[in-house]
Amino acid sequence: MKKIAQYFRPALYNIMHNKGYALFCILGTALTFIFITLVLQLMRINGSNYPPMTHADRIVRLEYFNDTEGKGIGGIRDTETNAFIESLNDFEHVSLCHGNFINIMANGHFHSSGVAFVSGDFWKVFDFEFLYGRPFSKEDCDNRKQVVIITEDMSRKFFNTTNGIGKKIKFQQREYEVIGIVKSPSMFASPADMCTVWTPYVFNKFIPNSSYMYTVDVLAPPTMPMEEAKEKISRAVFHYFENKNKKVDFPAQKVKTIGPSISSDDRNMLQYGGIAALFLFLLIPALNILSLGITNAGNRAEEIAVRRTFGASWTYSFFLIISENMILTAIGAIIGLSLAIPVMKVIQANIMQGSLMGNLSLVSGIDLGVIIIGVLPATIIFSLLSGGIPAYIIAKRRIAEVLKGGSK
Amino acid sequence: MITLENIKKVFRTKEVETHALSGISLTVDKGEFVSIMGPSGCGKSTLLNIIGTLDTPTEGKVVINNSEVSAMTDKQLAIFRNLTLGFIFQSFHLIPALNVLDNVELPLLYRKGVSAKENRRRAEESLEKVGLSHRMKHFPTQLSGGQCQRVAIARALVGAPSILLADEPTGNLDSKMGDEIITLLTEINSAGTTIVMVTHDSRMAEHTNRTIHLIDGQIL
Repeated sequence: MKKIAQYFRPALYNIMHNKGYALFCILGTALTFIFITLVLQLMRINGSNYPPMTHADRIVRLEYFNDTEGKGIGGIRDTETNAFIESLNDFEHVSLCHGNFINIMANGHFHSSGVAFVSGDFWKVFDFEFLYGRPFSKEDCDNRKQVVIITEDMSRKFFNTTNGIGKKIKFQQREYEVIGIVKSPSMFASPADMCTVWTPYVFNKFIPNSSYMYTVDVLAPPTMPMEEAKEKISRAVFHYFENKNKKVDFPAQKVKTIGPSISSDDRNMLQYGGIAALFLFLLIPALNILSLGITNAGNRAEEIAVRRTFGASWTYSFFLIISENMILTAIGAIIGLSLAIPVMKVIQANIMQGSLMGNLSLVSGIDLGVIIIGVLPATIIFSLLSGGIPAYIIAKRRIAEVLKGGSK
Repeated sequence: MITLENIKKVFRTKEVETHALSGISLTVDKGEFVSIMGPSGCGKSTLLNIIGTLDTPTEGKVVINNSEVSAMTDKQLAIFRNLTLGFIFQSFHLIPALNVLDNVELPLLYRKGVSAKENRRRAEESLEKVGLSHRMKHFPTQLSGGQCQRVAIARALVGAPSILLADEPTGNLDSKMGDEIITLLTEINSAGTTIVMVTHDSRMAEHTNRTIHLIDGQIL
């Protein structure tokens, strides 16, 4: 404890006597870490199977198809979904989804929102985190239960509370009861584009989008090799269109899971690009703080020279100076981490509000893994970059020169 | 105890080459109280810094207590200074962030094998010797110049060094305070500590056993 106090007491004294510098360092670091946290979080969501896309490597999405001559031949028709699902009976779960932007009446106000008409299996294919209530089931769909699941953000927007269970919303002349509240998915990991309200597909009027097609998501069982799954799915699609006298161009090689919703090349590019962006985010403020740090460390040059005169080694002196920077960086990083989510909400509220994306979160929450694996090492690198160089310069100065007050 | 052989020190810039010391050789025996006098810029402080291993000579050999210090690494020098040498400066060089007791304890922090309690006891004892035990919790800014120099002396003595190097210890003090400090240094020397003091006050030099006069980097 005494050893730690040796480093930190003079550092705290110096911070208290250079408040302007300390404030600049803390704010600069906090701002840097807000962006670092955002970039790392987005890299994490894009670079892995992030909830609700936890099983993304085993999910195949079927939407629109081309024939062998390259002409569009549509997707799976609403009236033929059951037969198509039956043809995929080897699979764990097969879900249907059709999204529309609809005006919703909730709590006496109109809101425009993406509503997804989905089958009961949708909640089995995708791994949503339920904060309150439950998903609706196949039976609820079959029994035409007028129920909806909404995100926590929509619940707050509709009812001023995250727990909107039991409340009613109305759209397309029907009233629905809220039976489940899910954690808002990130816009980068949302299975139903821009949708934040889900209701049984049996109520789908295909208004205003009158395509009458469903997106079919097929979840392969964990025991089934994906090559085999792709082969079976390709065959099912082929037979579906064969019955319509159409030759679909959908060989097994073209069947892709939604796991790499971006290709592995793009994913690598995103990772490398993210790392490069991170490095820049670190480097630019680090250089600014470095130049200030050199001036500030100069104020401690005499103290360091005195300590070295009485027996401190230069390595001790180095860590003594850097401890001040570590304190400031740590405070800045903590503030940056705490502000990351509110800043995202501000961006969302002020920049995306007018757009349809306003209903989805940039990032739904801070991932602890991102903080431990990404932000903490970045803090240490930032600290070493911005504080290490001034510390090295001061600790290496000639004692006699410093105590005399200048160089000859 | 201290032997300097043909010490030269040259300060170089792009344009100018300044010869601060030009072949100084001297010996200081154990228990001596030696003063170094000379006009400003004659190399007094440079010489003291070289004896104190705070600066390195351009040429020559420095031997202290039979150890050739010019051959030591930075870490070895730090340990050597900590165990063998005590320093007093004209402008005290106390650390403003630390109170009096912590300032005095400073040299002991870099020693291994001594408990924190023992360090504190030694620092308190050292402050008692210079008559400042009632000011332990004060900070340097709350003390007079004379008191600051007493704290600096307590700091220099706390590690029981065999050699005390004083660079103009009375230079920033009025004559009364200066007399008190020189009396204190004489007492310390009487107890067996070798002292090398730089001064340009001949009145202070009179209290020492021997005076070395420097002019233009050479001994007269």
